[in-house]
Amino acid sequence: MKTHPSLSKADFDKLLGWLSPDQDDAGRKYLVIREGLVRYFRLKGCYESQSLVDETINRVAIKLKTLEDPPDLKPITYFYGFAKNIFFEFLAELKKSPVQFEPGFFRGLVTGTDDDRDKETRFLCLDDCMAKLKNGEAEMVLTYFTKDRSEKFEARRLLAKKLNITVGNLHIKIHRVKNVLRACVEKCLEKV
Amino acid sequence: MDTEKFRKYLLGDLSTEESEELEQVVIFDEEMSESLLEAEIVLVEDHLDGTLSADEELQFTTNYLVTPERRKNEEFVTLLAEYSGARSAARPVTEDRVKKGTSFIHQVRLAFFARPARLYAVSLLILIFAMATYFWFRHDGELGKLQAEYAALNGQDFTDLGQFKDIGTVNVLPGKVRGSDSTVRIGENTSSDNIFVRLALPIEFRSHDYYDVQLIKEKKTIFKFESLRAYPNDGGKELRIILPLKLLVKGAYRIDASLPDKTDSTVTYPFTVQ
Repeated sequence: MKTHPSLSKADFDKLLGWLSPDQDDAGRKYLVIREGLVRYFRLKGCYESQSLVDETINRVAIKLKTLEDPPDLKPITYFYGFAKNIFFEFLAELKKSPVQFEPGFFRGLVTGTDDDRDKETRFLCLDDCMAKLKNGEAEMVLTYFTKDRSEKFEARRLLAKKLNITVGNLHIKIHRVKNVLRACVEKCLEKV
Repeated sequence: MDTEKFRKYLLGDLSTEESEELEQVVIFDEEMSESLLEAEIVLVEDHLDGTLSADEELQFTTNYLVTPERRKNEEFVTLLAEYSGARSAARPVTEDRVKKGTSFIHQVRLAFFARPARLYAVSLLILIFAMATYFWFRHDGELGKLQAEYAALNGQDFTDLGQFKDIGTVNVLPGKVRGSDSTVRIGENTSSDNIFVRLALPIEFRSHDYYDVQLIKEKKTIFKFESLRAYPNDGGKELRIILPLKLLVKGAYRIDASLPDKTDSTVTYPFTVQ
């Protein structure tokens, strides 16, 4: 994917000027747009969302430089259009890359096997990482991820009730703890 | 917006217009974004439970599992389910067990159970040291020959990128660029003995045409090339290097590119091989 260098101050000021003539208002709008772009790329399942967000902003700024008049679109819509294209380029790069960059951590390491020794290694890392969780989160994770499908829904319903939240909120809460665990396990597996 | 619509969106079952309309709402509405996340979590679980219809299963694989992040997430959820099954059945989670996770014995178990060869390595330390000394002297000679061979190879004209179509290619960014700590996975199916490395040069270095390049592992220079030529590319300029795959064992590396006779003007390219 073709990337562009970081913005100069002049380009960045022009971008802000397009968002709003008032500097403070422009700054606020810029942050909202930036957060929205981060959300967009994460929604699309992109790992390197910050670099894709930066690239989107850079390209919009570069385009604004070439235009005599500002685009007749809401800034949010304009940024979204660029973000979509960058996502498609990202996907295209993934497909054509002959050497894969994704680590296959959880289905076995370099050999791609899933023998008992590799699984036990991952379990040991999880033991380690679960021990670092606080506030009963470890027990929450064990209850939530019960393997037995018939027990799972009832277990989650009871867990949500115990925590005084909806099952939907429980999903989100566990999702966040899961991401923390995943980062920890990845680090652990790198050391092993 | 309803859950069913979110599910269809994730499966790629909405029209382009509907998808774009949904995206533009969701990305700027945090509550809607969380609802979509919830639908995504349930969808992944349904897939892992095997409760998706045949059409949904195909859509899930073709349209949803298209990024490494989503595939990693799915794998990790599977791992957690297996782990919970194994650990919950064996013993309940108690405070003692949580404490045990960080005990010295657990750490030792993690270090040695996962790689039993370490135990043998400790036991055979003296013999290994003697063998290492022998092989070091022998390897140094072999490395010198390899260095000379690849110095000659990298002195050739690399303008035509088509000549590298059968070789695995790696693009590495300078160390100051966010997200530039690249991880390189050397595939088992690679038929070539070499790997083609492309190093994007930052703006401030693009006016120069030649660079001295060093491949470094654990602060030791493994390979060194002098006066490698920089080539124009879409974004500016880059260095192009062929390296032997057998040099790139698992670990952290960096490539330093500096202007000839000016080692204080150096660009660093960190990467990790798995």
